[in-house]
Amino acid sequence: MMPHGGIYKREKMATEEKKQITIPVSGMTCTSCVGNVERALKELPGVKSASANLATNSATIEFNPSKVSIRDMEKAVTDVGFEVPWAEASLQITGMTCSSCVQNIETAVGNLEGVNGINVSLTAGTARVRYSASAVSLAQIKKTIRDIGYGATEKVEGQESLDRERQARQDDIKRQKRNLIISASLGMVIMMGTFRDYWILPSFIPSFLGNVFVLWALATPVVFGPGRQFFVNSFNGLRHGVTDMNLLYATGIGASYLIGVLNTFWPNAGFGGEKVVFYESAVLLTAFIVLGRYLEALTRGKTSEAIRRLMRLQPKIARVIRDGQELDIPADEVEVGDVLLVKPGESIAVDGIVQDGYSSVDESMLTGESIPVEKKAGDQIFSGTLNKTGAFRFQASKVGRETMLAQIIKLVEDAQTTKAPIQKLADFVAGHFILGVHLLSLLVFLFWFFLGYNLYFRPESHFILSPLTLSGLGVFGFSLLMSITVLVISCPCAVGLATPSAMMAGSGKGAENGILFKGADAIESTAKIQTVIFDKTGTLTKGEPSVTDVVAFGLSENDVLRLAAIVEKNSEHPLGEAILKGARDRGLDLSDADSFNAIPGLGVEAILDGRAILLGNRQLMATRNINVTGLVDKAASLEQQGKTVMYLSANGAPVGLIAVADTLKENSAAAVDSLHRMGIEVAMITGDNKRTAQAIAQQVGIDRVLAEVLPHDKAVEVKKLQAQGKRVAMVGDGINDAPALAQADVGIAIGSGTDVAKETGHVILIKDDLLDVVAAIQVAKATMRKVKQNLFWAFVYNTLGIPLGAGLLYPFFSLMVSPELAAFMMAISSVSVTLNTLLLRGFKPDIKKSPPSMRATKTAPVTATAGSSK
Amino acid sequence: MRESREKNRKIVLREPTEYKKMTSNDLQRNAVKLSAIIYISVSLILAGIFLGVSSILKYPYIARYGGTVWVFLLSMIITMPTITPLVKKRLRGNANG
Repeated sequence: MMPHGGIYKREKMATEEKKQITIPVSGMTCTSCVGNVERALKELPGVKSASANLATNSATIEFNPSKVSIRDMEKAVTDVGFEVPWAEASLQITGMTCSSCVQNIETAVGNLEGVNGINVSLTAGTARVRYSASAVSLAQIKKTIRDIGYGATEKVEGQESLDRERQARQDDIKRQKRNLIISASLGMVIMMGTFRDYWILPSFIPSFLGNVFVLWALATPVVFGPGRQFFVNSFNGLRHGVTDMNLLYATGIGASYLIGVLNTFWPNAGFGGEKVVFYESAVLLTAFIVLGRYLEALTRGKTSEAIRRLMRLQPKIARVIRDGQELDIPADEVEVGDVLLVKPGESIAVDGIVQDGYSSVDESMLTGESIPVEKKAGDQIFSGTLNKTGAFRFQASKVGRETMLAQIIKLVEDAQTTKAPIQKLADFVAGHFILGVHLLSLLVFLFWFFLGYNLYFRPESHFILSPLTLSGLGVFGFSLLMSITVLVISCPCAVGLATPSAMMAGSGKGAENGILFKGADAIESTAKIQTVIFDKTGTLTKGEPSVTDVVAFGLSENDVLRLAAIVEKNSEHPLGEAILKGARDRGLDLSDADSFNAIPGLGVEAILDGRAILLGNRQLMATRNINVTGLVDKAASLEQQGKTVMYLSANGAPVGLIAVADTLKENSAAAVDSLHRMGIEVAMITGDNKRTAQAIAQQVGIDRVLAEVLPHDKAVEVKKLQAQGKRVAMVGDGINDAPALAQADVGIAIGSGTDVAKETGHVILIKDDLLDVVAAIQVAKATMRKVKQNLFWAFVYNTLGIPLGAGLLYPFFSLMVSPELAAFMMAISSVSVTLNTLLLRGFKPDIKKSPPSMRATKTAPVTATAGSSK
Repeated sequence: MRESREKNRKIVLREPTEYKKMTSNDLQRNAVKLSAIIYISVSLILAGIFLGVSSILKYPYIARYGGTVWVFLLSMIITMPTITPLVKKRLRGNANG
């Protein structure tokens, strides 16, 4: 195997460099495990930050690759008792002739970031690679091998990282299920044997079941079978100086079992005699804790279903046309520029542009839009979508990790590895809780040992919900039981899963609806939004304005339009494009200007045949001292109709007006109305003049208008609102409005198209539908509600149980909580969190519940002005 | 000349990186050893106090020794994760001057 990262690599990366990697981590079962993994990673020099996630069984690390390698990270994780289950793949390699070929392949692949190791066999013609699927794909590895002149194909028995991860989950679920069956069934038998002397039970439970040796024989396989995981994990943790919840369980189960063994084989040793055997405590403790683990394993599997569903969309095989022949090849071997053929009913393998043919394509799996989209030559199509009726050819434009599907998966995966602020708080509390629990357990033991037993102990006292009396217990046994019960009842075992499981379910729910949250913190921030600012052009409006009025002042209408169009020929602004289109529609001849200059926020100027032409807003005319008094009234009346008006001057004299109008998107008013119903203030930001902006705002029902804002000042306006104490979301184009989106508490990039990875913003909306802004807020609120509910269920049992477990009721009622009842309460907390999270799967945003036809009737088509921001 | 400069650059880079790595591992080992001495000592002291008090108060032998073991175990569990990071931090601080 090639050492990972040689000196040469370090030399190349000697300057400060940051990379991020997500590595799989198995063995984490609770929030303290999460804390231990993060601490171990953060102690490595070169690691800037590390965030472990219990729900996704992974850790995301930001690091300087010149100071720390992936091997170092793996060692740090295994040193604290966990495993890093790398993805593995077997490849068939062709073209190797000698050992230097082996060396070449091992060097080239070994130097790839994310590859943990590679083993090439010359005789077998195979290579076995271990890698982190988040850092490098199998396709990249194969390409690297092909680039150095060898053939590389996947062996049939090789595993994709998804299958491996899924297999690991299935194995975990099977293991916990087996443990549960063993411990629960034997636990029931032991319960029957322990209580056979009570009530009517002697009449149908055989007497041998009450024999302590039989009970011992039944309990031992449970403690050393299903219960073994707690002892092993505790030992591993203690060996490396870390404590976690496994220690709580191991202490409780071990102490109960040990007392039972002592009283079975040495009944006169003073631990209470042969009647005081706590085998049922040990076994039921095990059973309930394993039940909690089993449910957690199930939850983890189901809440990552969104990612799995997205990954299943990716077809394995693509049909390419090379040298005039149709070839079926693995989809990850398609290259940019390849021509692919798609037949009816087939999934599309990569992103591309349709070359010929016609069909309708179901894009609902990516965008949530249920109506198939018509595709013809020149249209974009996306990997993972389903071709419905026709056949067509298309040219691949994006493959592998660049496709929209891959980017969406990456975004959702990344979102699921981040931590929301509320989770960090929960992890901090739970992580320190373990220490506090042990301290409390010690104090409880000392109290009952030196004081409580003498003051309050009564032989007739018994456990809650149990007829067993405690008459045989001495001071040590009694105090030890109290201490153990506190350990078990205090355990915040469900806390570690409460937030990440809800966040996973929430981000998956968002992805189903075409809403991509870029992190758990984005979900938390979106739920708290108080004000939403919409950019006007292209967000509230369609961004496709057209010329509505041409007012001539000294020239003919056509001349006015022609001059304006010539000036706008080099402009990329939507208004300029509208004027050009209007002129071309009238068949006007458009020559080229001698020179052109754009004046941001004001307009454009050009020289044409020696004449200085200006086209822009009133401010532009004012700054150039052009008297437009004769046009002002007409301009005002057009603006009051919601149109954008531009003044045209030639050689310092006004020659006309051009009015341009855009169209509101069909759901603009409905979206604003829904936000108002949710108690959210809505504002609009635009470069348009105040009158025009006000007119459009009234049409959609917006409260607040920020008009005449220059493009570079949008972020400043967002900041002003934030300074008023509001939590602000900005909705706009992810690329053009990047500074404002980045400044906002939540930047929502709408209508991202294919480049989701390039979008600035915390939330990305794939569709160009404003109702998705409402849906995003509803999904975020539902997710945060679920988080809070889960934390409640995780903590409530601890809060209520600790005083009970410590014996608060005992002096008054002679009642004590048994260790198995404590374990039952802990299992219930896991059950509550699990079931509560699963309820989110059935959630649908309210805004999506009303059918599209009903939504369409809510908004009347109106005319609006486009922004004059230039 | 460029090649030899690059070679020299490689050599210069190798030393500080390897030196730093060795020092870090040594620190880690020393911290673990020192922490172990401290938390085991503290736990033994606490267990010893418990044994002493319970003996003076004439508790049964099983209660005295059983309790001592339990106090020692809980003390170890409490002190181990508390003391180890403190010692690591102190040693790292001393190493960085």
